[in-house]
Amino acid sequence: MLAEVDQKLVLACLKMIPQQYISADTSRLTLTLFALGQLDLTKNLKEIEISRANWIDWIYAHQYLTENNQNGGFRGGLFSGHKFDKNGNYKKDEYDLPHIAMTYAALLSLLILGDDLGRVNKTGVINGLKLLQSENGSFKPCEDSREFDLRFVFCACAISYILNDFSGLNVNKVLEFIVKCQAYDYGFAQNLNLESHGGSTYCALASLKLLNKLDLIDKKATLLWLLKRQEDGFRGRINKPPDTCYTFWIGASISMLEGTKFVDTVPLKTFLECCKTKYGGFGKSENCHPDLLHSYMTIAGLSIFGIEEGLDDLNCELNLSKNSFETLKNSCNWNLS
Amino acid sequence: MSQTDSSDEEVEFELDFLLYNDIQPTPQDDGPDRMLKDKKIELNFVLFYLNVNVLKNLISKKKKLAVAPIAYPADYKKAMDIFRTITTTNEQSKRTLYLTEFIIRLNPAHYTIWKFRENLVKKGVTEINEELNFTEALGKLHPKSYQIWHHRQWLVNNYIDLILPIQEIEFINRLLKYDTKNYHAWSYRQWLVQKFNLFKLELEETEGFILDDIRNNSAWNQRYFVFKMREEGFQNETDFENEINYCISKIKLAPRNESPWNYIRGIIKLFGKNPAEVKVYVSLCEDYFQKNLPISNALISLLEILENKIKSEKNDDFQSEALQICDKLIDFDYVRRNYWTYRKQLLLDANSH
Repeated sequence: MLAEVDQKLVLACLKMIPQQYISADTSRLTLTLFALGQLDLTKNLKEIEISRANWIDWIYAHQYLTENNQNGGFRGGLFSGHKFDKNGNYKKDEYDLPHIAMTYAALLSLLILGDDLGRVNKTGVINGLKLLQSENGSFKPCEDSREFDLRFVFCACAISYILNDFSGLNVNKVLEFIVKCQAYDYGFAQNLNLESHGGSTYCALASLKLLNKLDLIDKKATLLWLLKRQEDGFRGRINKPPDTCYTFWIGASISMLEGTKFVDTVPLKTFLECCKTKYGGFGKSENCHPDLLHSYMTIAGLSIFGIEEGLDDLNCELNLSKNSFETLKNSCNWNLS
Repeated sequence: MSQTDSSDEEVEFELDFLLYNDIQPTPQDDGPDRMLKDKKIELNFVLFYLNVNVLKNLISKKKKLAVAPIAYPADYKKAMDIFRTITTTNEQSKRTLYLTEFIIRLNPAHYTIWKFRENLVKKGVTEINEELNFTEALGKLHPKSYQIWHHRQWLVNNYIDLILPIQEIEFINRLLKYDTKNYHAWSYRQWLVQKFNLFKLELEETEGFILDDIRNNSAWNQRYFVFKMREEGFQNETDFENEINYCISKIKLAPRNESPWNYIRGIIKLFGKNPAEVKVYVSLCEDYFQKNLPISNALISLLEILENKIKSEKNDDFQSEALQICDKLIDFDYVRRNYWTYRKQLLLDANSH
């Protein structure tokens, strides 16, 4: 069983992770998401039941909560020096700002923990999105950033979808930008004119799906680009080696275009088995150390392609288990259609 | 995201913490201690990470409320404690500059530190040339850090008089030596080429990259970018034909290489041609097909042309050739055989209606 053995590592990581992860100090909530997401998809959340309420508080402590609701969202870590407050707060200086990818990770993690998002300052989050869109429709992750690209367009779409309020973005401009990011080979690039890439293709397709606009693109040509990324495992770019994380990025994209039946899962499974480490967890390729991102993305891929039984289904466009998606539909006080 | 990139120019950078003795440290408030313990998890953990720092942390400290806390190296924690204080006092000095360098070297993704450093540069705490050298050294250590590239771009954009565009291209070339497909490097390069109108030079440059590695898809993409974005586009038919011939010569060197196949299709579309009318391209594809060679990209190109023809005129010859191609793809492109079987069925269905 590929996914089962993995839980030893993830439970350890929830307790503490090694110093090699300090480059993720400003994005710790993504680590939280990758760790909890694995337990969710493998139906092992009961293992952490005892910590659930505490962890929900800890995530809310990342909320950027102002009095006037002009901005909102979550930071990726508690590094800015503000006081811990289990509802969130803010420190009035330019070095303490929310980050759109962290808001996405926080909302998903809260849903996985069964929270109803009742303490999320919805108005602040939506107003925060309005500060981040550029003239050409793309998004940057936080107010003082210059990194406009498709990754943050996806975050903006996912956040708006979860909160069931798209008033924080100019949807037409978003669509225009996404379509322009499609490269000449029909993969999507992270930004205009760049090289097609599995991660950006996921961001483009998931955004379009969340906006119910997949028909805007040539789906047949896009699907072929995606299918052609399979060697045994999936490559993220043309002529680059396969990498386990693309089991999710490419796999989820293929699934959104209803093409999973075309994928040969036998060599895929063999590749993933080779990337499984003796500690549990998956590395990016053979003989690599395991890490939370690649472990999560592999398990998500196992679910997408039905390679392993007993995993929960994945809602590909949000990157959330069916079970946690039910929490979103049933517990949050805004109803999703 | 977690791996540190290795490099042949690893520089030791030590920080003299005595310099900051007068600054009251602000520790990170990661929430109250948690009283719960889970022996099983802990044991697994110790077995997994037999790492002295982690063990010290486990033994000496109470469990925290936090999810997945990082076992910070002591120096990183100490430096961050000082940094948290100076974001409040906003001290702009040489010693705060050193502090940012120290933290950035440990964690180049720390965007708040970069923001603080940017303010130091604006204030004139460091020379622009030194800052350029700094980003280059860091770029070699952490080529995949977004922040380094964005900082560099900000510098060049803001101190444009101090920088020669050609030197910037040379800088990128030095970093591309470590990884010729570095996405950040190519992204920054496109900005630079557009900003300083370096398209003419860039066309030659991409030729060099493709000569070095015919499978470098980033370089092929860059070449497409030049034709798409340069003001003159394709000047005339000859210009276009030259490019098609260039591409075909590269395909012949390595016919299974996907990059030039995508590129040639892209260029034909960009020039507004119908692929079926580009004779050299069609005969190249047909040649591989007739010789029964397993060049799936040639077959895919041919299938695309035939399907378009079938749409405009019903012709049994086109239909049977398209079906033959599907059969070959089912055979040659084995991992995608289910997909080609489906495409074959689509053809059959269309014919029966």
